[in-house]
Amino acid sequence: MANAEKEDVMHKRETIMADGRRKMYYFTFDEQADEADEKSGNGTAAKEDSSEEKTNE
Amino acid sequence: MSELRWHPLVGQWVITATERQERTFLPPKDFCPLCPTKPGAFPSEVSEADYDVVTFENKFPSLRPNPPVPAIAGTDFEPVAPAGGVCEVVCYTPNHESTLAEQPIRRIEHLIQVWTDRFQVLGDRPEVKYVFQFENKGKEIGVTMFHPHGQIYAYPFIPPIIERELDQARKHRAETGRNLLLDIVAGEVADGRRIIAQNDSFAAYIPFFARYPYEVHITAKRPGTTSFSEFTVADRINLAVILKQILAAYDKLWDFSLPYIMSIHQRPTDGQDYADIYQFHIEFYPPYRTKDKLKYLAGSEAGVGAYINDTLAEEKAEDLRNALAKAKIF
Repeated sequence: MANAEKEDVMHKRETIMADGRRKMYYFTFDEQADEADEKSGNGTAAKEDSSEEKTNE
Repeated sequence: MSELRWHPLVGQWVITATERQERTFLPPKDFCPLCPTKPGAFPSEVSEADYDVVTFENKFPSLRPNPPVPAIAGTDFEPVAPAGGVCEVVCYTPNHESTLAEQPIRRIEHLIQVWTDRFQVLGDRPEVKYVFQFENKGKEIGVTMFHPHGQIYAYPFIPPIIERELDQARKHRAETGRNLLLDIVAGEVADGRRIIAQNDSFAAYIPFFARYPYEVHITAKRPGTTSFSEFTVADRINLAVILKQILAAYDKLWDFSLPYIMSIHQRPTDGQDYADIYQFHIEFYPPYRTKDKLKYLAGSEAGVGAYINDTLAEEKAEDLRNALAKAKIF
């Protein structure tokens, strides 16, 4: 089982849609080194990473 | 025109939103408003050429941040109110032909991070009392666009089914001192016959009291997990895994992409503390009762709210366990 303590870092970018009134949010992710699908190979994740960082631009 | 009209007989708000009659209905793929806009092609709702996950305010909302004054006057026992709130669309992937079930676990994790952001941001709005995240999938459910997406309704009131769940949970707490949803999930895990999958954070099961043949609930096991806001990193990973398992089992059941309503139940965002009585859970309502027969909400269900399930949860859970084994997710 790969390291499950890393979570991809999320970035959020707010824009206004073409109609000039509605809000829109693009979310992108900085993928960490390990493969997420491997993280959960046995369906059980490891302990929480207390250094979790979430970036909202 | 858009407003809330009070239904005094059953004690709940009804939302009127007449503009929604004009909303996009089953557009051809080349005119899908949820696909990224391609150079020189039809301008979709999403102006950029690619995206991971994108959310935006619904073009045809039932609830809006600056609602119009109600167009009709109410009465003492049938009051009206502005339809304030927010309705958002969540596009899971730029791939029009895909489904949530087909997404890799990593993208489902990303979606959970987005759901968490939207729950917190919308729930922080002073007029919003409840953030409901859901997906209608399949023409049998009545979707108007096939592109894989979900929706978010941020209501100015607590919806009636959530109110009823909270009332039952408070009653259980008063009678037993325990959390009803934790008792339900502990009972299902101990019994085992209706469990489809489980991990450290969640259990997925067809509940003892299922109303639909393949109704699955995914419930958080850790006390105090009432919303995405209380999730740990491990919870997010474990939810992504168990969601993938259930969706894969659904699609393997009869080897077609199974329609469903996915209903995410969280605590209200009205500032009260629900940690002792509530638990985050997701409910799925697939409309099929056999490979080629639909379960309709007819007289008993729609007329008086008395559900009749033609099947046994214990047998249908075995069907889903077998389907999950065939899906070979793990």
